[in-house]
Amino acid sequence: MRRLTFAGFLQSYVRALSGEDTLALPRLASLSETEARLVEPLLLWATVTDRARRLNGLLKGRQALQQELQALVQLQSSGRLESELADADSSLRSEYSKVWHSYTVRRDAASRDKELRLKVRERVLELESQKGVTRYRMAKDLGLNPGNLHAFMSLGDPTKLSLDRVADLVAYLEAA
Amino acid sequence: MSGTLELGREELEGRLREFDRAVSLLYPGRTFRLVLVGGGAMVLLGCLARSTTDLDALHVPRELVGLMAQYDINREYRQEYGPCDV
Repeated sequence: MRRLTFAGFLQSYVRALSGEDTLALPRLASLSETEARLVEPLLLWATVTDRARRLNGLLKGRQALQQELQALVQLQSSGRLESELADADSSLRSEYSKVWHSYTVRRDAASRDKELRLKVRERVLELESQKGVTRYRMAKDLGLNPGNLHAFMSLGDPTKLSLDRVADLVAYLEAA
Repeated sequence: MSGTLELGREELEGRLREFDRAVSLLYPGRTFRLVLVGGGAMVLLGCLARSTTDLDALHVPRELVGLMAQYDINREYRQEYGPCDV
């Protein structure tokens, strides 16, 4: 699976928030006057996809936003945009950090799920010793590949069982 | 590389389901109450058709705060709603 980039996330986000499935900059600039939620993702998207200059022209008369856009461009050109967005004490409005957080949650979903599987593995091992069910039995009853079950249980390899299968394993052992 | 994603009611439902599963796996036998408010709640109810990624929770079990952040579920701080933690 392709890794979600910030630019890719923002593109999807801006398109969705437009409500019109559009990425046309003039239309997005116009919509941002009435659709407040669109403002920060739009400015960020323009910044990270080299559209800031054009957007700046479309924001004529909206000086506060033009200044924010300029600040974002400066951060981007100095390579500090992402660290600033991630900074709890960022000088940017909190709405910008919120967009960044939404992105990182989606970007890191796979590693979050791996960590969850490893945490739940501890419970599986505990239940296994309590219930005395053999791994052969578990694999047979749940239709798991014995090698994958071994890799997950003994070697702690979270990639060998999906979260669904881990949840099945917990439910199975709890009921045993 | 610029993978994209879907944003809308299905995404909200999927994220809530994933969060629910994480809670059930990490806190076996426990029950928590989470009250959702705002645009995301309206979208989930089918009262609003707009796209949003926002899931805002009014009553937040204190021990779930960290986990909620991992699933992009926000704590709603508005004063008029009163205290967030229950």
